[in-house]
Amino acid sequence: MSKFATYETTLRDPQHLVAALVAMGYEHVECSAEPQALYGYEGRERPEKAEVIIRRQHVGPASNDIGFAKNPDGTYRAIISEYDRGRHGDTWLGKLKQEYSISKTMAAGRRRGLVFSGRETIGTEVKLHFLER
Amino acid sequence: MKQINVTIGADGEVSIDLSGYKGKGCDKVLSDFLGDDKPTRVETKREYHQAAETAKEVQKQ
Repeated sequence: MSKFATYETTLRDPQHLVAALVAMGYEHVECSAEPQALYGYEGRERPEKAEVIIRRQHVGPASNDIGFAKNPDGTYRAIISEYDRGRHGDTWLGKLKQEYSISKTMAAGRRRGLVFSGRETIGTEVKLHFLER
Repeated sequence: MKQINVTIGADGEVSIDLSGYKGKGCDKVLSDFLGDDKPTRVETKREYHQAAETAKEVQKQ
């Protein structure tokens, strides 16, 4: 073996962020270059804005919009209301990062022209295998 | 055959295991997979050093 490395995923690419949300079952995800208003469960505009949004009707009953707002350093932070954190808390955000990493890894493999040789799920871990000729 | 095995944890932590690469050839591959993310840990495996030593031996001759 030549090298082994670990890293923490940061949500930085909106394309992979949207792909991750779609993989988690959110088929209607808005993505804009400019931040858009978020709305609460009663339809009232909230003070927060975000570039990537799941509208409340696609989040769940009595939910608020979930947004991902771009930080000055280019990363995205999740904007999730207190009410929605019950179902969209740390575990949900971890799963989102996992799906984001899968999308990012598959894209890196395609860019390098690697042969994708398989995917395994072992417990909560996902393993992706590539070959380079 | 060069192999890249990527393990992605439930919290999004990623481990990349590169094998079959010699010398600094795997640095570019690692960089492509990391993108803008910074590694928290990098271990260089034995065959990396073996290739560097072989290159030094060839240069001496």
